[in-house]
Amino acid sequence: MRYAAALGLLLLAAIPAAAQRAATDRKAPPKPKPQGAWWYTGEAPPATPGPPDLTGVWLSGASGDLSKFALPGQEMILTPLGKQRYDNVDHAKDPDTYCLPQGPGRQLMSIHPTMILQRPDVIAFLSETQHIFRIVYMDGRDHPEDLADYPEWTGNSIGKWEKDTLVVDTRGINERTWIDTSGHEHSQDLHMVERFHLADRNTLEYITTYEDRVFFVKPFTIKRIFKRQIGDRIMDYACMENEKDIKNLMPTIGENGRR
Amino acid sequence: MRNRLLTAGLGLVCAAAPILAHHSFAAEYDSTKPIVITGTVTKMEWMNPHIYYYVDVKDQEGKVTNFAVEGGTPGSLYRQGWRKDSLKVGDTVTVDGFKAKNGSNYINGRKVTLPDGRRVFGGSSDDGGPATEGKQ
Repeated sequence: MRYAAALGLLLLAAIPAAAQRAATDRKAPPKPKPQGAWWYTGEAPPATPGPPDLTGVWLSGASGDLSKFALPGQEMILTPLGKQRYDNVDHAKDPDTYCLPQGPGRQLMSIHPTMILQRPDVIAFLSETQHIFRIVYMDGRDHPEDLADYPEWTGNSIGKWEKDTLVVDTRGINERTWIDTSGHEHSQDLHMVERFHLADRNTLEYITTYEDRVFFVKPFTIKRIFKRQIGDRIMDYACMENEKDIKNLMPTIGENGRR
Repeated sequence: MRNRLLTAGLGLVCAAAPILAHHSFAAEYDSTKPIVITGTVTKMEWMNPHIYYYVDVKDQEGKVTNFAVEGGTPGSLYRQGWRKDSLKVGDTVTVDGFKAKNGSNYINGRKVTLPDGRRVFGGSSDDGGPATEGKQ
């Protein structure tokens, strides 16, 4: 018994050191302080007139179930068709799984980062996931007249500044995209208005209103926070390089496959 | 207890960097079919959209089966500290994971015990799969 107690004490004494050593081993190699532009190092940008510069690498986290991110009084309410589709969505048919673009909002709300490149007349979102991009035209143009006939996987986006908030209007979104990973679908009528506002220089508030009367009873608005990824970069992602999941997929309906 | 604490320590580290899947866990793997395999690494594929490593497992009759184990994406694993040589051909590993629904030799690997005894999270974290320490 005494031996057992002594052994126990020995083990207890040994564990924290062992755990610490193992944890240290598993950590990513220590990174040197990032050297480069302010948007890479997280330092203050140079003072310039005009709107804030959102350039940089940002991370949101997965879109999940967007109804859980609705602002008070702005909840997502499904139409009967929207509910029928959500209850019966087949997760084996998620376009993301087939290496297709996830859609304009979902590509930003990802566990992979997105880089924003900003200039006065155009802004680009360059997403690590699927290596897809969006272009936001800031030069005063309107959406193309024939957009409804030629929808795009990332939609068509035009933007403007309202004081310090970037407001992006997106239409013509291919109805094969899902607005989130939990499987909310939409019609070709989907209209998104995204508002980007810096809470501080390394925190970006993302408030987006979705309007699509075919799937949702009324417009709903969600809020997410993007964090600047200091010292990080957009890494490789060629989705079809070694895709092996598609051949193993089984029909998985509604709640059974939510993620 | 030793294992639990070791795992907890690693879990904290691994939790810092979530890993993305591009598919629903349940559309491919069966959460009611957990499997633990121990065997020899025969190949490592450090590619998108998931890393795969292959493990030869010998059963009691001596028959060898080669399992394909799916992990996270290379970029996310890299950020978490994994490197392409974290698992080398010839290494002995133990993988806690789940079997594919279609009965093939594919496994979704969640926890990996490395040759030196370290247990790390190596799976996908936003796929709706079973909770695992280190899972986001």
